[in-house]
Amino acid sequence: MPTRRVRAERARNMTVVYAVMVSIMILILIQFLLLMVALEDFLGGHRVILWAAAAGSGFCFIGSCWLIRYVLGRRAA
Amino acid sequence: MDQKPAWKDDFPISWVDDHFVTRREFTKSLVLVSCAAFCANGALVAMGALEKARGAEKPEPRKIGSVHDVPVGGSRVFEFPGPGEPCLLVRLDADRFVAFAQKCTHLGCPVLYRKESRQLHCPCHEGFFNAEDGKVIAGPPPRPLPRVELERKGDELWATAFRK
Repeated sequence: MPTRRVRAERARNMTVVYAVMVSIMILILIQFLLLMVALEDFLGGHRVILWAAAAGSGFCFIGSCWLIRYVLGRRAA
Repeated sequence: MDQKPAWKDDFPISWVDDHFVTRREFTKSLVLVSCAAFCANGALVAMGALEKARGAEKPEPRKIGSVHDVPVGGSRVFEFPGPGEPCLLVRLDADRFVAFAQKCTHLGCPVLYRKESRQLHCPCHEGFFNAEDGKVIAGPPPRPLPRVELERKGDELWATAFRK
């Protein structure tokens, strides 16, 4: 039977994993919004905000990578 | 009592053998989705840059047909400056021809000529352009249609360039 301390630690880890999961989902949602805006810009032949949308999407991806690294790092520790 | 139930032969799945996705694995797959969205955005940037580079080149003049090919009030699709880039030639009067890129400036749907109202109509989102100059009359298109410069050589019509 796990002790109360171990169970508390497990619960805390789970909370972190859930928080990261939700954060990444929000970042993906932002990325999809940026993709839609970029697609509309591209199809309209305007091509003014393609770079900005790609940069925003890149930042979201870097954020996702940092979050997953944080979770995997916690697991290893 | 120890006999194996019949349903176990029909559905031989055990909890142990079943594929189990942990929360961490699911989170990792979310990162892959994020990577895919970023790649899609990057692909749009690359395609935009490619088309911009292609558009910077001066197009070769191209014969698009004879004046007798299009009746007064009629229209005809041709490709300019290259294949896969449709344009619309409209004969407004006996001696007046105009041509525009056929892609709507909203989302790229092909526009059609409406003789009765002398307008170019995009059926996708109800965009309307003036057939005289390509300016937006109504609907969501943000900019006028790019106009094609025409040159008449006897009975032949030539597309020479895009007017910005």
